[in-house]
Amino acid sequence: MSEPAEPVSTRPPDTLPSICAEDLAVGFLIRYHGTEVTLRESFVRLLDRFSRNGDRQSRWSQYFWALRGVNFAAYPGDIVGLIGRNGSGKTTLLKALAGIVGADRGRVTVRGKVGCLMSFGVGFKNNLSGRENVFINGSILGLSQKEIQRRMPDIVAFAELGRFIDAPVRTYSAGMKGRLGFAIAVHIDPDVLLLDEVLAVGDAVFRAKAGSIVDRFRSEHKTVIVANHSIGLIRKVCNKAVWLDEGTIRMQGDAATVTAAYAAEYHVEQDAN
Amino acid sequence: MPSVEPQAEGRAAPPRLRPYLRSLYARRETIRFLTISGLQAGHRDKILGNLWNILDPLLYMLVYYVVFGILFALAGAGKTIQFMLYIFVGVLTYRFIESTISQAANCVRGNRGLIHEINFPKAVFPISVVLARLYDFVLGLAILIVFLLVARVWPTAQYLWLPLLVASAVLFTLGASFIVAYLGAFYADTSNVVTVVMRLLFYCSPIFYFVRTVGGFEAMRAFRRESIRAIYMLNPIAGYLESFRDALLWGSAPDYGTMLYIVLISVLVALAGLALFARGEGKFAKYV
Repeated sequence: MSEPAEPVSTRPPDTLPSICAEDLAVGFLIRYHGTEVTLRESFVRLLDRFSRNGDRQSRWSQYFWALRGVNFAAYPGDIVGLIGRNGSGKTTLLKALAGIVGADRGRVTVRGKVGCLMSFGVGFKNNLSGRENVFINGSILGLSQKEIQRRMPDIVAFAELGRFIDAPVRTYSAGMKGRLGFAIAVHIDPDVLLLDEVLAVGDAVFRAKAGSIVDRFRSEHKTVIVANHSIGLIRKVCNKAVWLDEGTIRMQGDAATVTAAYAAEYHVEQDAN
Repeated sequence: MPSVEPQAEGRAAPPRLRPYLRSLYARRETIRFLTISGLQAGHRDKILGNLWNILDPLLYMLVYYVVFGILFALAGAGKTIQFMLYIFVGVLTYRFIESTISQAANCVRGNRGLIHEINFPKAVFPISVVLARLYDFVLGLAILIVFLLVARVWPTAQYLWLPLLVASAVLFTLGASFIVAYLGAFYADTSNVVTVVMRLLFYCSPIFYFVRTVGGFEAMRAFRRESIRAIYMLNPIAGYLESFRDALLWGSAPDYGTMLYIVLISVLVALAGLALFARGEGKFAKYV
């Protein structure tokens, strides 16, 4: 089931990909925690670290490749679904595409502004109000205070927060944080939107709203990349899909084909969810 | 499982300094928001609130006065107010440097959430820590000047050195914060080390004693007093304290050698810190 390195595309050849990864590899140094570490052991560990500074494989730590040799491109108007089992590298790929995690090898090219939502509200400062957090996040994403102010009513309305926008984020429910994060990611007008497992969370009303946003992005020829476990959802909203397996791309192409192969591999119900 | 050997670290070309500074300038609003939130967040739940920014150094000054001015009788007869002012300059300046560097040790780890969520120049964190503490420092200096006026220590032309001294202290603190924040991102042990080092510097700086007493002890007879003092003055914090006191309290021009030294050190530390931080920040998300 090896795939050609050249990504499948229905666009004319002169269209440049809005986001692409070439021979991308990302590794992590994993430090193991000993269960019963004695003083002597931690000393040995320390010496170990100094004597082996070239070679990073040791009893205590290991270099782990979360992604290897990933070639991938998405074009304007593409809605790409990322599927794969837990730990297959979906989140790492999204983080590498967003530039949050640097590439150890290969490179990532992005044309335009990237908006991303990696998790529900982890990036918020708990003691600040929702409004203050919108200002911090918005300014980090490159918006001026005026631009943020202009978008604020839309963000508050989209997140359905009402006057809670001025309450500290620590008082928010998980759903409220998630809606606010999604509202910010969408309202900075990104050209590429990266979503990690967030479409499936939230209530039905919010999911419908999120779905309509994805449709709007498609019609505006923007790119959305969604990591999701739901084959049904990926079939419904995506035109392309990428199947990640242990850090490499197992298969990519047309969403229906890839999800069918994925479902067959793991004997899961194709119309699940 | 990893069949591919990891490449040497730092393979990605380190960002050039000028574009990095430009990208930081583009985030000036972020820095402003983080600074303001850093100023407010610390004291929001307290009854006295932001008053603590002023109360803290004042109370510390009183503590040192009681211990060293009264118990150790360092103040000298009839010089209570002078000794208090002397300590206050020391406490203000030292606290600015110390609290900034201590906070910087955790500023990357403390913003783990944001770092995993969005890509941006992480230097906004140490910079906003420095700016928040600088606000306290300048406020403290203003209060100090009021005290000086009350004590009839009138302003002199030496006040003109203050902008240069403050700028140099800010550069030094900023550079040290970059270095400590960089180390803190990779090693959680950093804050422990910083605490101990800052404690050492606290005792090795003329906060509650006088430089002229340094090296004057029997046990140090084997060394020339001047050489001991020269080594002592290598600590830039000592240089800042002495220069600030010259300009504010004694109304004399700061020692030019000391000034040159602290300005040079501060520029060097700032450049080294920024270069180190900019080079390492791409890896932060993997470690914190």
